[in-house]
Amino acid sequence: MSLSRYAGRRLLLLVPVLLTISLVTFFLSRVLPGDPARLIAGVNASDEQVARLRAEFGLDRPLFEQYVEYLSRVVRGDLGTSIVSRRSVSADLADFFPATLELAIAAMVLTAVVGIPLGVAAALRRGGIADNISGVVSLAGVALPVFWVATVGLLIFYYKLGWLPGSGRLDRAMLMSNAVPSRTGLLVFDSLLAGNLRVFGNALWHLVLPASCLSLVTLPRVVRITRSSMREVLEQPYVAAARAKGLPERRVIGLHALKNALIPVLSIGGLSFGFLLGGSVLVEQVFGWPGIGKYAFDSINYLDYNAVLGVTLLATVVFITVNLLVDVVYARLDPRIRLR
Amino acid sequence: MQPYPGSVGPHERRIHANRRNHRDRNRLGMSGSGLLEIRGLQVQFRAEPPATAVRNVSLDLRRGECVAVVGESGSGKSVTAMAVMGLLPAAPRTQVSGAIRFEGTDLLALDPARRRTMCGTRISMVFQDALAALNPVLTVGFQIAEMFRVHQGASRRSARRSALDLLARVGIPGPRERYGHYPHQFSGGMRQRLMIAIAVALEPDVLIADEPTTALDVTVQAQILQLLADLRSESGMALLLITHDLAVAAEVADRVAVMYAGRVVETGPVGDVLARPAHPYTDALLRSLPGEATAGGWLDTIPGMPPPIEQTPEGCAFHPRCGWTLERCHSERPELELVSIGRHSACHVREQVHHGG
Ligand SMILES: Nc1ncnc2c1ncn2[C@@H]1O[C@H](COP(=O)(O)OP(=O)(O)OP(=O)(O)O)[C@@H](O)[C@H]1O
Ligand SMILES: [Mg+2]
Repeated sequence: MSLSRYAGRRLLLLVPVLLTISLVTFFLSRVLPGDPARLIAGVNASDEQVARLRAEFGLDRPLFEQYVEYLSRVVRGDLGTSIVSRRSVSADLADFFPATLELAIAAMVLTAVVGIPLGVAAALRRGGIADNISGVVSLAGVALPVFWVATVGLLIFYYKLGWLPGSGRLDRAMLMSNAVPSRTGLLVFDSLLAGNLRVFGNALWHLVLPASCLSLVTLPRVVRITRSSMREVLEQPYVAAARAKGLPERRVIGLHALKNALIPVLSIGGLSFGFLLGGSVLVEQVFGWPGIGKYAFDSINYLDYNAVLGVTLLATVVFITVNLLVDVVYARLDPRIRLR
Repeated sequence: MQPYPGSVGPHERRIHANRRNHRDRNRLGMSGSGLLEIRGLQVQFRAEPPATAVRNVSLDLRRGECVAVVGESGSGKSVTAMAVMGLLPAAPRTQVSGAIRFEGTDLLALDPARRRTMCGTRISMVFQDALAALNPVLTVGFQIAEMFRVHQGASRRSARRSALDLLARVGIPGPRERYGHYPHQFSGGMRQRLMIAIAVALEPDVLIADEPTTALDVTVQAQILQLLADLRSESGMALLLITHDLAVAAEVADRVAVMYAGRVVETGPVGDVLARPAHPYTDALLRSLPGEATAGGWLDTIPGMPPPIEQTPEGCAFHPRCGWTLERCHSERPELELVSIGRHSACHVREQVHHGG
């Protein structure tokens, strides 16, 4: 089957998934105790004021009617208005999501760049230094909550040592100057596109601490799977055969073994991208990162129904898209896999 | 010399020239009698108790010759081959002693990098299970062309051309279409041809084939053996053929070495050995062959099992399963001794076995 037809079919699957997710989220959020109208109006507001607000948001109508109306708007690309920001939810998402995406990508890159070589080195020498380090990393990932690591990281590298910035995506002055036009919303790319190396460096600099903390979600998994996968591959006859061909050990490991060992790493890594998005809620909170995680956190706190639903739908789309990408790359890496 | 059909790249001509040099040197007696001489090879795996898979094995492979190594499963045939290729696990896990001389150079004393470069160029190996031995995620064309790219620094284009020639040479139909295919897209026989193509790409002096046909059905088996014979007659490469099939050995080999429990127990010209074995184990192997000798009747199987390598019996390792056992067979291990010209057997009653049968 052609790649585009496969992708098309997979994306079509999004429709029932999104329907289900929206239905569940919609009704779940409504049965939660609390009244957003009252929250917004404040404790001193009169009952009429609250009722007026409720009518304004359409909260006074029957639930099912509200859901159908919501859906009909979503189909037209309108996610409704945020109760808190009073802006369209789509606009909010467009503002906040790129920051999260940038953070998640940075964490993923960090995971790959550190995790894969570490896992390979660990597999090559059982009981060696790399093996021990990767053991510690695996354990740390299970034992240390991300929230705690982020807080301690902030404490040490920002407050105590002052080596790294403690919050935001850019220095305040740079942020104000609007130095680079937003094209992708990813500052690292935008600054490169604009050729502004100062912003580029500053954006990277701000990414270091949050991305490192966030990568703790994926790193242990990737190290562990790389190590075990590489160990298994090294026992395979085709590795012995590659040596028998007289290829240098570098090539035997780095090409013949690694290309096989990466297949499970890719699928595990791809799946844990979802965990990254989950972890970003906590990390963004600690580092004041203006991302979707922080937005979701706030919208849940205020029972901002439209925002909660918007975030959920976006997360679903991201999740499914990432899985699709993983499948496609997977099929490229492993010729025995047929996309079906 | 008739080169491959189709064009022959410049580097291939260079190899042909090299080969002539080797032959000339050989004719002038500059290298010893054996191209590959294994002397007192001992391989021990670290375990509790230590497992000795190969014990004091000596083998000679002369230029252009085919020697078959036969023996039951676990007799140490593959470990011997791995030792020659330098593919055994590294030092603390494996103890290797003795000498493996290739053109007089002891491979065991060579530094690993130099030894590695001899693999694939001077000594090659074909593995038993071609599907497992071919890399599943690289195209077969890449895996063949890689030999020219890595060892000869050939350009992408010329490596591709050489690989296509080679695919045709080993009998893969439609090389151009097949070049970009992956191993799983080939049949068992075709995969073994691909393995052979890789192994003979740089025209090595020695090809070690470890049960190259066991996984294949009989017709395909015959085709692969024929291919090996053809390649050998063209290039004059020596073949160390590992098999547990005496019929295959009889058909292909000049000489045979029979292994039992990590030792060579009988060697000699294949016709002589099979016609009049001088070791009860060889005799038993022959009797267990389906063939004219036993047509219509039951096959004799060898009673008992080969011993586990951690606890080979005292004396002659074969004595618990032997029909000729004497008192001394329990305690005194027989050494390889001359039976007749070019023939050796490690048995206390080799004369009786040889003449009585
Ligand atoms: N890496 C290893 N570690 C420990 N023991 C090993 C290892 N490789 C082989 N052996 C043992 O060495 C012995 C000889 O094995 P080998 O593979 O040489 O047998 P073989 O004659 O090739 O048999 P087969 O016909 O089954 O291929 C076996 O008992 C095997 O278990
Ligand atoms: Mg074997």
